[in-house]
Amino acid sequence: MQTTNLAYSKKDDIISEFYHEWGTNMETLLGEWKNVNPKTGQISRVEILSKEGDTFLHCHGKVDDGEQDWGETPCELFSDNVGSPTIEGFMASYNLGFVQIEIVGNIKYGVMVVQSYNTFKDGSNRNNYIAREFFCKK
Amino acid sequence: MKIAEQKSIADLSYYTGTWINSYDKARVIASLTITEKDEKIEITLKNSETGFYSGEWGSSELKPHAYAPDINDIVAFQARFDLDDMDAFLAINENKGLLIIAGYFSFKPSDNRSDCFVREFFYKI
Repeated sequence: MQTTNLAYSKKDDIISEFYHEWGTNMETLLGEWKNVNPKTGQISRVEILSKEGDTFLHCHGKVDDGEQDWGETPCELFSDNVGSPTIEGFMASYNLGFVQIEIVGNIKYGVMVVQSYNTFKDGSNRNNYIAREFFCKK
Repeated sequence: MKIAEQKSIADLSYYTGTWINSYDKARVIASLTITEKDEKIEITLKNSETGFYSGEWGSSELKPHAYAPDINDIVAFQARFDLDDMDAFLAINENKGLLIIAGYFSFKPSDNRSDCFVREFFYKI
């Protein structure tokens, strides 16, 4: 990758020894991850899928009578620096009508840490809130 | 505090059972089992094959801790192991279904290895 004449906002934006390609640790990321908290009121389960080179997140919300399927949404992958082939985290977004949910996740020592930023759009006066929970691969 | 003295402890069944290290290349502990017997809580550890310690851990008593002096729910434990070549102090806490162990390992005076700190994460099966 040519590193001259690149726009940058901080020096870590431009330092790179080789072109970044995803895939080194895709197998670690892909698959089904289960919330380790059996009493959760948040996301009970996520799947990370690869389809024709694109990555998708599929979340299931915990509800009284089981799970609510949120469907699949595109998932953007991130490494820990501009030259690293190792996937460090991901980001995805759900628009469920009454609520917009931004999801960011990262994996450390086999634990997927998922944070959700929930913004209500229905004028219900509910506070927007964040949640942070832990998932392990099934 | 003894379990019997706790007025309103967390449901111990939440803790009892087997917990597996989330990391397949665990540095010390592969899995652990928590049991309750005769008003004592006990922890039994299983070594990680990829870890630095190859001896037998055996079992030790878990000392429960609440979140505050006026709260009785158990949220953490401590345990100590006096092993052949090292002493281990384990600080254990639970967070949203994850059991987190911060281990402080001290080798015997004749051992040149550095005392070390390891933090590992476990989920219940």
